[in-house]
Amino acid sequence: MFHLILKRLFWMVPTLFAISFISFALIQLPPGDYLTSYITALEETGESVAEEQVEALRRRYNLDEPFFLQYSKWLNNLLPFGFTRQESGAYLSVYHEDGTSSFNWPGFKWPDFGMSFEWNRQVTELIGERLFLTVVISIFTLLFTWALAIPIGIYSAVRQYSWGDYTFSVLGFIGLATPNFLLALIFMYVGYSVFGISAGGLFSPEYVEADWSVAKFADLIAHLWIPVIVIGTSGTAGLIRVMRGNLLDELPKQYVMTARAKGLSPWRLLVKYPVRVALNPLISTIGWVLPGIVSGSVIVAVVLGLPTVGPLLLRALQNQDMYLAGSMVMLLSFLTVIGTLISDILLLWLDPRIRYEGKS
Amino acid sequence: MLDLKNIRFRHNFATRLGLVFIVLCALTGLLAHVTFWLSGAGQVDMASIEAIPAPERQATEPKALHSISEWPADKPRTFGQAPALAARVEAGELPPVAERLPENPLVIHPAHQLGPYGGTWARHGTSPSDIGIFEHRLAYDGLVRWDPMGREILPNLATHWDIEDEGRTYTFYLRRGVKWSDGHPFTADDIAFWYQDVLHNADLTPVIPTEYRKGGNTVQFEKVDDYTIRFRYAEPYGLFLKMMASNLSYQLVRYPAHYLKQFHPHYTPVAELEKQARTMGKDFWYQLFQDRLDYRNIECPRLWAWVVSKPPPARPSEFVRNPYYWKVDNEGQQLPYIDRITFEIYDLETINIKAINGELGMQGRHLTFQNYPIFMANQKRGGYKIRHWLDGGDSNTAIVFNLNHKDLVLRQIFHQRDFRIAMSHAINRDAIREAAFLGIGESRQISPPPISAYHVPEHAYAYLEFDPALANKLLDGIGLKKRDDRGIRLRPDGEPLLIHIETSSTMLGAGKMFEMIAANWRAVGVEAKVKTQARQLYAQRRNALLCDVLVWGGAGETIPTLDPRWFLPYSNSSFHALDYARWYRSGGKLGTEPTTDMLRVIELFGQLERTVEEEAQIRLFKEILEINRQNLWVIGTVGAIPPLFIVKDTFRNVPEVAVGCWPLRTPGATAPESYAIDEG
Repeated sequence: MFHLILKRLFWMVPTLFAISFISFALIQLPPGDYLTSYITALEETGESVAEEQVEALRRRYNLDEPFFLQYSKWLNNLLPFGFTRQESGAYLSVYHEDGTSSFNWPGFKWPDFGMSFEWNRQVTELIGERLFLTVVISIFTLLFTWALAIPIGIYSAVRQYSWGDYTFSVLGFIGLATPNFLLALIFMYVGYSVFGISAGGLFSPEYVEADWSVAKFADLIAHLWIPVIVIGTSGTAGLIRVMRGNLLDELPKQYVMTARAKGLSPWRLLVKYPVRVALNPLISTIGWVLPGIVSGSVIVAVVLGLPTVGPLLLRALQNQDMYLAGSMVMLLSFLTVIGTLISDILLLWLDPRIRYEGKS
Repeated sequence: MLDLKNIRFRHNFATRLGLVFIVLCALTGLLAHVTFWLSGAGQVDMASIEAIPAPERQATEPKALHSISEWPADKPRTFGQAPALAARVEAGELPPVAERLPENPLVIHPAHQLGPYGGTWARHGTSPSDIGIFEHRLAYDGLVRWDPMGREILPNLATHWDIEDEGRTYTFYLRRGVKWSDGHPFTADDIAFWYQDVLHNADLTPVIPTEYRKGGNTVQFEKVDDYTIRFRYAEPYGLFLKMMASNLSYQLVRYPAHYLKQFHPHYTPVAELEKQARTMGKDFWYQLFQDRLDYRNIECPRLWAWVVSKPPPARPSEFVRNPYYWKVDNEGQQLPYIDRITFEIYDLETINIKAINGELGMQGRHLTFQNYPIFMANQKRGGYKIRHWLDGGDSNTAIVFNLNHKDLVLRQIFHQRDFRIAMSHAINRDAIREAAFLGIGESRQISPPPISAYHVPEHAYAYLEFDPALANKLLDGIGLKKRDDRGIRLRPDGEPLLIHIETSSTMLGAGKMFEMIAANWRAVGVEAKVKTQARQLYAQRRNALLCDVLVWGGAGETIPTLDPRWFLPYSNSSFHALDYARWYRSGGKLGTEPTTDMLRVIELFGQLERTVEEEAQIRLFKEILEINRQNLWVIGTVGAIPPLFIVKDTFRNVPEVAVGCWPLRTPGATAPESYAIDEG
């Protein structure tokens, strides 16, 4: 098993390199650059930018460098091991006081994610600020999804074709079929027109700027349920189906019959054997949860005006804010790769069958 | 209790199918009902719709506007200030208000009432650059400013000015004792710094704007004394003062020399600057300089009524009052009244919902016109009023044929005057008005609106009648008579005449209008398709001269001389003639030489630029409009859509009617520093 993990870790490196190249190239691929999108956006709202000003901006953002130069600079800055940028601006040479210069040997350094054009801030700073609330929402959503889907899935399987099963199935399919953003808009409108909750955002206007307090936390919880339900529904619906299907596969099996014949109580039996097996697919998808926690449900977050990472990524991609977009895509890819590794390890640990297959 | 024996497949397929069917029917019905209820379609009551007062679109006499004067020299210098500032003076953090104000503060007589101090003006934007608009549209403090109706140029940082040598020399007299937001005096040296070290620095200004280059030479600048500056042009430049009021002067007083010198290589060694730039993730000194100058830098002193205290991405971003602001009301209370302005970033639809909920202070930006009835219906509930300002030209939609098209056949067709006129007559503008603009507005070419001194009805209302027969006759007359079996006209080369109306995805939200125009054109045998594409792609195709028909908004035609992009090939926004515009901008070095009539317009505009008297300018511009009427290079659709503003009931001094457009930096020209929030 240790050998396997090592092998997986080794293969992560070329994978990430490939991802970095493809994502940076894709971000650069559409015609135009950040500046074109910035200027057209201004023009659409009635402002105009003189040609001469555009020239000054182009110079300011240094957008005319060739692709490979931009890519290698970005990659070099991103890595923890590489050429450190010298005060002279050069990467490859060190200039000494006496006028001579020598080769700048690569070494360990802090990764530098670069600057966002649009926000004029370091990418790390931008993501950092939004990470806390993003993770709070994602974890609440995950808990909501699991807390609802697993019991309902078990119930639907055990009481297959009962009234309850039908009800949950219909609700589940509606949940799967309704686009999240539409649900968000409906909730927002109902929330505003029936309950008078301020639409969008995670706080009421009076708490947005307040320091953290019990009241502010209560206000957060009062607003949190909308995104949690909106983002959670389709996941819940999907999970119910998965849970139900898996359990239905397990229940008619011989070992269930045997255990029951030996006198194990139905509840203990259910939880101890079939449910455990049915949870396998959940564990194997944990890998996708990790990047989802950081950037999940972009459109819903945009509609609801949530201060999370998702909308930041979306805007960066739309505007070709290339360092912000590139660095975020890299971060998400890294989390996906790590997440997949974690879920593989968990599966190995949880399911003896996979362990044995690995050995043979 | 749970019994595993019952986990069996119970067969009764028909029953189950029936049940599922009934449940689905019930749910569909329920869903339809809920949607219907949510859409509010059932609650439409025609009486209440008719009770909505019609917007006063053409009111020319505003009810209440602010006015300005100078603080009389003989009046005692006793000034009032905001309580928060008084407390800071008490604590010894700030000098007394009389010392902070200039020798003769500019006096603003607010539109409705004096004060009170306090309150937060909440605004929302869709992106960080929306917050950057603060500098243009909310601060808008230059040497001179437009009045709210766009008719007059008012003193601001300059108390008065002289125009001499037939418009070659402009002398501005600065207000004495104005201070930057850090208390440092603002003098002619700051403008001299801009001239020498910004305008004449190739890194900061790679290309000198045409407004500063006339007769082949860059304008000469002279600091006469600490409070007098002079610009000298090689040839008369009659539009300079107007340009100063709209575009130029607030941008040239944004350079506090005492602060920025430390970031400029003229005063600090480049090596040191670049070292500093690198610690901030930048490569070059000019990137550092521009970063320090950016509105987001809280350290850079400003002359604005509010200065940034929490720059984006703070949520909300915040601007707070500038304790050294140099204007007072007519009782000597220092402006601004409102304590702070906050900005939050939301999706467009969310902003509209928040607007209905009464969460905006005063804002017109991003209010979707399609939501107009909802805004009106929720006025009481949301605690706001909808103000309909006068359209300064921005609301019209220009439909233009690419006269420089790469496709020679299309180019020849587009160059036919009768083709353009036929296409104008083919459009059913009344139907568009009903379908896309709720019946508001009026059919109009791209022309100065009636409130403008340049208004020419003969041009504004030419070729507007919906007349497919006339359109067909005109098209038949220019060699497009042959049609294929679908009824589509054939081009001279035998191909069916297919044109694409190209637009960028997010523009104007008037997709309906473009589809209707395409249908109108198909009806006269011109196959038209709407092509919506991403902004960047649109911009690229446009600049490569590949688009057939382009769609864009008006450009503040109420003062058409400032940006005459639709009347002559003026700039890279003159989408109908980009290659001619290149020729015009480069003085004939690049691009293609325009046609005779366009050359005549260019010549007339050149004359106009060299004319100082407004009367003569208007006369020349009317000649330009006449040539435009004959040629109809640009087709207008529906204009006079009132710019909508949501104004919270507690807001005071926001005029009921003013002109809204980019040349007036709306709402900048209505003196936002005199707005007040009265909770009482």
